[in-house]
Amino acid sequence: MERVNSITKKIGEIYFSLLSPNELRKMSATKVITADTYDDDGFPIAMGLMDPRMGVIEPGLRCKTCGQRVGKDKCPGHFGHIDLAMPVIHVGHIKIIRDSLRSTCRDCGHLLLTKNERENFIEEIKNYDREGRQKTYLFKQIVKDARKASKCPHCGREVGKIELDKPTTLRENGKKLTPSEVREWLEKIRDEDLPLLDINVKASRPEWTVLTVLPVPPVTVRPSVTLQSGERSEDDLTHKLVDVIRINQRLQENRDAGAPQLIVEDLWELLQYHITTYLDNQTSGIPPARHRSGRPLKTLAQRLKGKEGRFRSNLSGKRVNFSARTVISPDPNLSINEIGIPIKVAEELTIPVRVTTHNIDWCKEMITQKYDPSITAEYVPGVNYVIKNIGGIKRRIKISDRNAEMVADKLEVGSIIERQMMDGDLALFNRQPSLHRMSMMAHRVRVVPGKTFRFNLCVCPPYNADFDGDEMNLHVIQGEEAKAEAEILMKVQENILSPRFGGAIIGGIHDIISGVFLLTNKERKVPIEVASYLLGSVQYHGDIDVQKEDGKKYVMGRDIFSTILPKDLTIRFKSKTYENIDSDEAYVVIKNGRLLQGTIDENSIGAFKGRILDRVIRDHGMDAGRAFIDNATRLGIAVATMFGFTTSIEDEDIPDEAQHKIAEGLDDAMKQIRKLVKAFEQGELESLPGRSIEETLEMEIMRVTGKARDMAGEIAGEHLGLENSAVIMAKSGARGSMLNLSQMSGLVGQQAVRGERISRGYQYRTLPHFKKGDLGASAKGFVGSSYKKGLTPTEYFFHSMGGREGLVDTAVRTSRSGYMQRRLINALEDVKVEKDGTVRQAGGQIIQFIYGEDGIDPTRSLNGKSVDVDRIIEEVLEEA
Amino acid sequence: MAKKKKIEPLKNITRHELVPDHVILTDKEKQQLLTEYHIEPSQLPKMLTTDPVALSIGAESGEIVKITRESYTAKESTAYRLVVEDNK
Repeated sequence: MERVNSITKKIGEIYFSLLSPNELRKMSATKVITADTYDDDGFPIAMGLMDPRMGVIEPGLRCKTCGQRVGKDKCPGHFGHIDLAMPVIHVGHIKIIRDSLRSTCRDCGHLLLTKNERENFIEEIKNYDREGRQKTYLFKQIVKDARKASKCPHCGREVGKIELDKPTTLRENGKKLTPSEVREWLEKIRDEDLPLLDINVKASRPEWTVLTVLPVPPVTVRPSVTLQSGERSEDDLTHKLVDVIRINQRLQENRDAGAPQLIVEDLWELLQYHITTYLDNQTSGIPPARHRSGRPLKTLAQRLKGKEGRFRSNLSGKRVNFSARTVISPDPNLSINEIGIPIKVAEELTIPVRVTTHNIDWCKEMITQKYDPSITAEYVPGVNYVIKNIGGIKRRIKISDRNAEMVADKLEVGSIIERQMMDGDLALFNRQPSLHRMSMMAHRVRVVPGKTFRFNLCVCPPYNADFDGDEMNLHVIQGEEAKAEAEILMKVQENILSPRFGGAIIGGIHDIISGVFLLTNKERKVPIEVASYLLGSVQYHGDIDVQKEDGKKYVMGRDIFSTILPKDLTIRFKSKTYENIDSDEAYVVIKNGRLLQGTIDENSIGAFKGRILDRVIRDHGMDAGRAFIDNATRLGIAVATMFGFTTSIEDEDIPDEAQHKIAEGLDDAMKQIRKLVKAFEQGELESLPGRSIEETLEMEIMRVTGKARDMAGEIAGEHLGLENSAVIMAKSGARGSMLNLSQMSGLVGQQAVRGERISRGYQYRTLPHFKKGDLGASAKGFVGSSYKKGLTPTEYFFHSMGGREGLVDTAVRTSRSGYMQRRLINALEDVKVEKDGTVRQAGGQIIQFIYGEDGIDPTRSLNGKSVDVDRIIEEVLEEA
Repeated sequence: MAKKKKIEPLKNITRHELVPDHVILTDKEKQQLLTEYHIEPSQLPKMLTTDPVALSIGAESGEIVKITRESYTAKESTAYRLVVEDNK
């Protein structure tokens, strides 16, 4: 909306370098010499850690360096410095120091390479630069080659063996090198040799890796907090700096007083420890510095590193305005691209609107109106703020009852009003974890009473949402460009087809499928009164066939369903309900938008495999697809409401004779298993090819138990017909499966852990209820009872073991796949398809010459294939 | 100095059914390719001089190899790789 009044500049190059001691002193606002922070009166001590020359944190106080305050004119803070009594090695640069020492001479500072070798490497570096190749390996090679020299080729000095004693101690031939000695050595390295050590001469010198001056970050970086008790609590960095200054002081005093070498060295090492932990408190090899409470201090490296660090938490992940979060709940009366937002949310979230000559009257009205439930039941959007631009300075005016009239009167063209949300606005709706692009879609707003976000049930699968307390986020679109982009790319109907496989991911679910099933199965006749209600639910206008029977008027269920079909739809496919039956009745036949026969179920309107849905989207576009899903939702729900649909535990009842039959089958299976075990024990069991006898026994038993379960399922299935609600749900694809039902009424079957019968627990047995070495069915986790009948204690235990494995598996899988996805996203974040069809990285490097090798957008493909040959043949044949 | 180990090329590796067709581009074809995609050679995918196929077809650093392979989605697909020196 706003145009920035500044020149855009492009960064051509960026490099990182070391700070030299001189630079450090130059940028320092003050030298810090006192370890204390505040005096008894609560004022910061001069040349202490809270010196006001390093910036201020209390509002109202002025910085002594720049004279600015915290609040309005923003003093950014200024660095100070500590002069170290003795040099100290910087842990972050220890590898550079080690390599530099290893590849140079201690006496003359020359690189330990002959003239010839040196020249060769310089040439090689040039080559690498020209070809744009990574030089890391080459630099490693230089150090490796230089280390090989036993004598300096320039001055003939014997080369010592440099070892790094982690984290910061260096030894030459086993003798400790003090940081001073290291620094002296590094100083000798010639500028000409630095490029061979991967050091930029213009930017850094190797000796700067050994600190003689320590920068003290501005106070604003490590603010102290005042507790309610008036006590001050200092930042971790300040604590650490106090330690550094204290030891530094003691070191200086002792050295100046001519204390014994041993004491000085001890203090020196202590100073090294404090500075090392100040930089990184997780350096391996040394204990982390701790707070008085025992909590490890959060020092410089810890502020930046990891998930809670500055980069991932504050720079890549920012908190946003104009967003809302609340519990979600279902509302089948909304369209799939709508979202119901509570009035409370709508009143808080705003959209900026620029006042123009065309809309000024409307804007004035908006400012003066306000939602008041005591006056109008209907929600009325108002205005929260007016932003006036007076001579280049923006002023925000909050609208209240008192000033509304006045502000509206004075409203000028060019101001911006921030109006509350109203019906028809576009907003982004999101549920975490956002695993695919359908996790964030644009919805049209409908302001509704209540306190939850509401949306159509069909959009649960893309968000992976349910209503057991899930919360979701809403973002209001602020600019016109963003709105246009969301409109084209992010609306729900634009995302019905998943780019993963080119099929619909949004479709009818649950009651919607049950509903249309009831309407279309078995020549359903609907009394005219009910039919008119159903037709009303989809707002049908037009004629419909009415039949008469016994003086009563009926409408065929399939004719009612036909009203939501496009007029030119012709298709024939098998329904899910009768997928295992091979007769004409199993097929759904639709001609010119009329359902002639067949049962509508998941194979017609469901996500993933809904054939009608798929065809509607392909032939009539996304908007028609949306309308179809909306109508199917309303119709399905209306049918379920009118006809009634319920299930109870009685739905799993099967007659006594069926139960006897199952029991007999079970007995047979048990007998078979006993026989197998006996054969095994007597060594008569013949092993299968490539298996041991034990494995053969296990496989045979698993086969028998599997067969027993199938048998029970079959017998139960014979007695569970389509008049049964639970069966309707399972067969139509609304919810559940026939396996679930057979486990409830037949038997549960073999429980497994790691794909095998349960064999863990006690020595040679699973539970103390069994004999040692028992290989029978019940001793190894076979559950012969049904859920309805109830499980025996041992069966229950085995069932829990199987169940627990499932839980553990999902827990392990989510964390692992989450990390895998993070790495993938980081690797692929700026890969995109260019205008010429190539897939390229940000730098223009080609990854694929044609996207997917065929240039096909998966959402426009038919299950991954670019051309639907069958359909073309069908259409051509029809014409002929 | 980095030393180069001579690697003996495996015999007839290109005739194996799993090795796709590799052809070295002529200078003219190379120029054509670069102008077609508006790219520098360095923007192409790379292939090492020590790659078994590069060794057996005798591709040298700086040359571009055209690879024709069977594709699941498009039956046949072509890709190009720039031959570069190995880092070792």
